[in-house]
Amino acid sequence: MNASLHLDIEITRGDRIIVATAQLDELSTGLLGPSGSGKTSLLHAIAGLVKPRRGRIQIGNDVLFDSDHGINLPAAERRVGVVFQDGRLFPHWSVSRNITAGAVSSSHDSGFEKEIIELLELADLLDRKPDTLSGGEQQRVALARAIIMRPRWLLLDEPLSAIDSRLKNRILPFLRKVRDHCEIPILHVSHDAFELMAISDVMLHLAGDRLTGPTSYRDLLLNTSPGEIDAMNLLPATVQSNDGGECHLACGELELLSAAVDHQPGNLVTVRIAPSEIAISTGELGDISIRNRIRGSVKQVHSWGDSCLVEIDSKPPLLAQCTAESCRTLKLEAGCEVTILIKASAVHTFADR
Amino acid sequence: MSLTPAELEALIISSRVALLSTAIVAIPGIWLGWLLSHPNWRGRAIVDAIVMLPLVMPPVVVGWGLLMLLGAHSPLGIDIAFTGLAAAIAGGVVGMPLLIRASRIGFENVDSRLEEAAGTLGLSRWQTFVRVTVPLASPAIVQGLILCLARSLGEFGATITFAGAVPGSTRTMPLMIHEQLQAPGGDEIALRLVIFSALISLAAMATSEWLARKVRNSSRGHR
Repeated sequence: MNASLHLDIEITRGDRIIVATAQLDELSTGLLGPSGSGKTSLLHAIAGLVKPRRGRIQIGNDVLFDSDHGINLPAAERRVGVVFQDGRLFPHWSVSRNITAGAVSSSHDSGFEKEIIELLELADLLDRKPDTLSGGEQQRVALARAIIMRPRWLLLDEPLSAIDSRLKNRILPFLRKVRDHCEIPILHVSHDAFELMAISDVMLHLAGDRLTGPTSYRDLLLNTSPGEIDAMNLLPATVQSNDGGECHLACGELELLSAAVDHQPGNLVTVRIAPSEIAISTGELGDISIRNRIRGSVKQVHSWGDSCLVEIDSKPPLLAQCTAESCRTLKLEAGCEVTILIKASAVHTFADR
Repeated sequence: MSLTPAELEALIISSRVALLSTAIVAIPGIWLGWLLSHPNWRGRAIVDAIVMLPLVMPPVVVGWGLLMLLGAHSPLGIDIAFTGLAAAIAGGVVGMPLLIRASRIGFENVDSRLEEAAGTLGLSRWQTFVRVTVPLASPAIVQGLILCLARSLGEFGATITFAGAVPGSTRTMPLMIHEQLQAPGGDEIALRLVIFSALISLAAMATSEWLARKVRNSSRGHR
């Protein structure tokens, strides 16, 4: 990608100084951090809405900000699109005028505009005013507005935070479509790692005034302490059958069983299993009610705070959490053959694909 | 009850002067309102006090000031005293503080986050001002223009001092009412004029309220 984003800045936030150094080369990168960690400030610095105290921001070979050379391009000249947390649609304009607000100032591409309207399913909303739209509709309009100006980077600032959790799953597919269709690199901010993983394979982590990454979620998880970010196994899956109170899921080479949900066979879903809900057995299993039993070998055992995260080399790999004491008792180490046990009720499915 | 030619003339002059004075101060008034809506610049408090002066000073003093500045002994070499333009300027200066105040509040209430958003979409500062800031502040600006017009329509002290009461050019309704009240037996004519100017003012206010509502609706989405 010739438009990689290079960051090496310090931002003042109250009496804190946030240090952010990173090189983003992926088409989609997440930015994870707790509320108040300065994620929005960092995004605003890239967009040109906040001036860093020092450093350098660069897209490809184009310098957006350089304190050493006194360069600070105004937001309007950066061609960095932003979807704000609070939508920020222009209340006095219709949806159609809103989404072309940025496009009119540069070369107008009505073919691309039509494409985006179709992609984000906005055709029926074009004549409406923003205050008549639902939260989800508003964010789709905001997304279209930011994309139609063909930015070099697209920054998403918790675009789902103002949306009902039920409807979030309906927006995620749109973000994925944008990523796959428009080839605009995305930096997506959230305090929710799973929301980020829906569209990004790698993520940055902002905590304690310091930016780390980009790394995979697994590496990030293993490098933080318990409680800092939520631990979860996230697996893409296809619904095989769904009847008789049970739902069969195909998930890579695994076959999983979950409690019944309202999915149809063939639906693509994301499966979430908390590592703490997975049990490990090294011996023979007697009669047991747990339906999901997966054979595998231990790839690695990571100590994680007071407990351990055991990495199983199933396909896809799974993380199981157990106490350090259990680890010692079972003599878990790399290479051990184990059976892992997951109750069907611990297998949660989300129709966000 | 019909108007005599002299009365009709006063009515036309009044309307013309009020419209002209509003037109003259519209741009500077809105600009000053915008300027004052920005916090933290040096001299803001002083500018704020100066622009509000015509509102708190006796209009006669404003008229005298204008006479000194733009009269026969003008330091600028511009003498427009006792002309129709002078009447419009007198009305405009007295009405401008109301326009400045209203548009300032309008600009202060514009969500600066929307202006930020416009910037990220590639709109220059001027484009943002014209397409986003002004339309969002327009309900308040229109109210300010109405107040300015109304104030100018009723202006007496500054007008008589700076523009006089020249029949056919600066003798507006308030000046004619005053004139009739001074004349023996003019009470009846004065009363007729009072009723007429009250009707005109009511009609003007109703029209502008309607206009303001229309602007407000179009800038806040339809409900």
